[in-house]
Amino acid sequence: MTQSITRLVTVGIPEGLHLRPAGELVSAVERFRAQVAVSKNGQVADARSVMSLLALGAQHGELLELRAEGDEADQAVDFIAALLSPGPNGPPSGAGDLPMPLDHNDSRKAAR
Amino acid sequence: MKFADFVSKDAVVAQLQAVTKEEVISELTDALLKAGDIKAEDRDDIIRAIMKREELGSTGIGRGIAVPHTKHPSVDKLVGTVGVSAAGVEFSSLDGEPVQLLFLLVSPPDRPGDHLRALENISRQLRDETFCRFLKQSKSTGDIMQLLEEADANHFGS
Repeated sequence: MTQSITRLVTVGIPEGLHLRPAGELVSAVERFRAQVAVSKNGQVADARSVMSLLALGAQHGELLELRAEGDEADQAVDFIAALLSPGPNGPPSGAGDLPMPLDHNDSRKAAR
Repeated sequence: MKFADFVSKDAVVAQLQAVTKEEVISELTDALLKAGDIKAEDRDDIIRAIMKREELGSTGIGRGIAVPHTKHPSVDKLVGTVGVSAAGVEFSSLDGEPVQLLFLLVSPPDRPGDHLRALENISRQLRDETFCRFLKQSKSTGDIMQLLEEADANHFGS
């Protein structure tokens, strides 16, 4: 079933959304059946493009909006949220092992 | 952040000679050395650090662009340079294409925000296809500097 999900996530990566996590985000998005957009203050980036993500210049502590559509939108947003806001055990390492996002990041506005 | 804030004018290389990743990183680092942006005793260590970063994943971000970089304690502000390779350099880029346009960045370890803002500026400006194409076609440092100045003055799209 096609889902449409929006979620706000605070960048928890100390150095911000730099090249390495942007590359990891692109690789992750490719594994899900979902179209994902990441936006900051209205500037929208395609989550399949490293350049597009870097152009957001998302610093630590800044708020990003994730918007996903597709059969696996929910899983894609979970994974990206965990990647952007890594918990004490670090960023996720595989799609089959999804750490749940922290409650304060889980401000989902619309589902399904 | 603008290009003028981190691109060392005297270190810009319009016609890169290198044909491999390590050579091109050395050529651009040497250009920073000649321009006085880094010290001779740090040259080898900076090249090693940039190559080590490349092992974690290529900084070739696609569309013929690469952003090799490292943090290094020997610099007290972000220094960077631009190089153009007409022939292209194999860089194991995300899209598999050789790179023609390189932005090499060396930043102080305690200033990750500046590094991020430089990446933001490079990515935002190079999304403009005209700017990207003109830069790759540049034949002189004068051409490159003029294009960077025009981009800083918002003469290109975004």
